Amino acid sequence: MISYRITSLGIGVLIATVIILLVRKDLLHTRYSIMWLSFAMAAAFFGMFPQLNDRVALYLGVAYPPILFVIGAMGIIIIKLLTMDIDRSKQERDIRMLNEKIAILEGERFSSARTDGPGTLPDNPEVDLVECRSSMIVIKAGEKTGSVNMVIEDAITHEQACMEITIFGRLELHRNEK
Amino acid sequence: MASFRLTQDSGIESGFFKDIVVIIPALDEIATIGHVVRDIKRNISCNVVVVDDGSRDGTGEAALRAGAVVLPHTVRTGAWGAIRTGFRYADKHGYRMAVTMDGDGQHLSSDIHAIINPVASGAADVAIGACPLRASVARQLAWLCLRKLSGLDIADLTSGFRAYNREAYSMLSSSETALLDYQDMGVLMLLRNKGFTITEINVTMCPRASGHSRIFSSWVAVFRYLLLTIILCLAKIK
Repeated sequence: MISYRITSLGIGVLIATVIILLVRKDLLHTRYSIMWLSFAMAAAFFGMFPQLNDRVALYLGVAYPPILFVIGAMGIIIIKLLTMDIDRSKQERDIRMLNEKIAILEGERFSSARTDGPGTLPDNPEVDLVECRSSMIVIKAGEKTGSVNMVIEDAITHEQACMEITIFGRLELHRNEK
Repeated sequence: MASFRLTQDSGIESGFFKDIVVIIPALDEIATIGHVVRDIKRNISCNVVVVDDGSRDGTGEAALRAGAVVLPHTVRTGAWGAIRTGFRYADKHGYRMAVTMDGDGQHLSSDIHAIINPVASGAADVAIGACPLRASVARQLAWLCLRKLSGLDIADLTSGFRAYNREAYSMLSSSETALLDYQDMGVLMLLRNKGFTITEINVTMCPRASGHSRIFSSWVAVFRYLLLTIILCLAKIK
């Protein structure tokens, strides 16, 4: 049977190795690795020198010394979870503000496209798609930008039509001759 | 050309409406949004901004056809998030006042004059179009608890029909309110804590033409809303 000291050291080294590998593969930000590496080192250290844990437990009046390490680990995990939620809240705030900014930019871009004037298109215009919306599309012909209603004649859905237009990048414009 | 009507005692010059923007947060409101936008434009000559919070039924296009400026959200953030987008648009374009309305036809555009009046005259920074009688007994009870808890002396805490002056809506479009979910307690308490004056004007509210309340959609939703609001009240208490 191997010594529990070796087991603790092994767990600590294993956690540290996994953390280093995650950082190496860009799966974990360096700033988050500090806490996990500290945790691995603490596990290895207290495993190697259990009498240290016993002394601290005695000083703090804990009757069963091994539980001190467990409580300490749980406390650290709870703090870590709290900081993660704080970080998530900050990220959500940033995403919401970014979302607002994009909405304003997109709204203004679309408004300017609509108010670009009626203009005239050549007889056989070759137009570029700017944006595909549910009932109309924004197109660009030369320097002119405008919106036209989209009529789907074949038995396809609007999403399919939009996808085709988006994939081909160009579309044919048929004048509505009555 | 859009025309506008004035109430006899409004004392507001017609050109004033060019400085007002009406902000409508909308999510899947295709049945009503076009009518709501056209109705506002018929009553007052102001800019109408519809913030499309990720609708899948073509609400944005319907609003666009009705003559509104449409600001489409890439990520769905709820009614308050949509209103914040409208506020930031208003701030960018320098509007003197911003009016928020629901897109489901509950609020009457003819009441806009009534709620902008106290804000335009400087009597208040924010005016709420209130109709407390529309609430059920359960909702009245919840409002009573929230009023006691927050110390706010406002009869209609959840009305989305409001007029804000520039200082008020600029403050509300700051990062400080980005994590709020509703346009009620958090917003009202922040306004009060920052020293803004709030007044209520009694207005008529119609039953929803379509859809249902997303906040009060089920008992679980009501419980969640109440719990979140109570925590918010306790955290933001002055």
